Amino acid sequence: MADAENTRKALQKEVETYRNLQAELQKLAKGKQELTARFTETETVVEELKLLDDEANVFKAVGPVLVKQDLVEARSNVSNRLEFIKKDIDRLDVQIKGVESKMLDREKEMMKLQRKLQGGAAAGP
Amino acid sequence: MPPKEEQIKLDSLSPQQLVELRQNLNAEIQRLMESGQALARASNTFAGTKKSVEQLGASKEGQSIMLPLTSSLYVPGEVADVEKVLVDVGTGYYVEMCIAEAAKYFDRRIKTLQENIGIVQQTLNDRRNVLMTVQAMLQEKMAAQQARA
Repeated sequence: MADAENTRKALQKEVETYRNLQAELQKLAKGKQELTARFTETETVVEELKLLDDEANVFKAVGPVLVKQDLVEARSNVSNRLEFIKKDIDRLDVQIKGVESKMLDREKEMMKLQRKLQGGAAAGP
Repeated sequence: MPPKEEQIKLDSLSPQQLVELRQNLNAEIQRLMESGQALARASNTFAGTKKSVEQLGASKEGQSIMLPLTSSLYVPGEVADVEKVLVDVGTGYYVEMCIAEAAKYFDRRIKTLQENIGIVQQTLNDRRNVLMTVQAMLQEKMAAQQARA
């Protein structure tokens, strides 16, 4: 009986870990969604700046003022930022994969414990 | 997801799993509908702005205009420049464009949005079809269960 109690406790711990992982995954997914939105927006800006004449006037909003920007500089700035965001997304993807594989491990562990618990109950008095 | 694979998988699901699947599909359909609506709203905003720009292009310098200070307070003013506008292209960048360029810019944005709306619509239709298959399968399973009981 003490054995079953231990199994139950272990199972409970597994469930808790699993829930934490789930919350973590949700947070990561949300972060990725935001980054992806920023990525698409930046992507269109890159495209738009590419289409412009070299003499076109470009301004950047810095707080409440618009500051005139050199177009070449603006292009490279935005492209760089696009790269940064891409790297961030890749990093998040790796993290998401890690959490997902951890969740899968916990799932297997939970199933094992559950089966053990059921087997024990059937064999018990 | 290819529909063929879906068919095979659905057969082997228990009614409980089917109900869960139906719930997920409904949630996804809801999300897709919301995204589609948001895209349509954005597209309408661009279309409206394009109209305003064209109207500005059609007016003369010195034309009087009511300038919105807030959404409910307007002051009279005059148009000083009817050839150039400053367009917000995103992430804090503003580009000076002539009227024709600005109109083209909005057309481009509208086109991309319409393409995305099309994709969302397509996905929505796919999901609705899957939902119907799941629904039918669920009914079949329920009927079979009742027949057995």
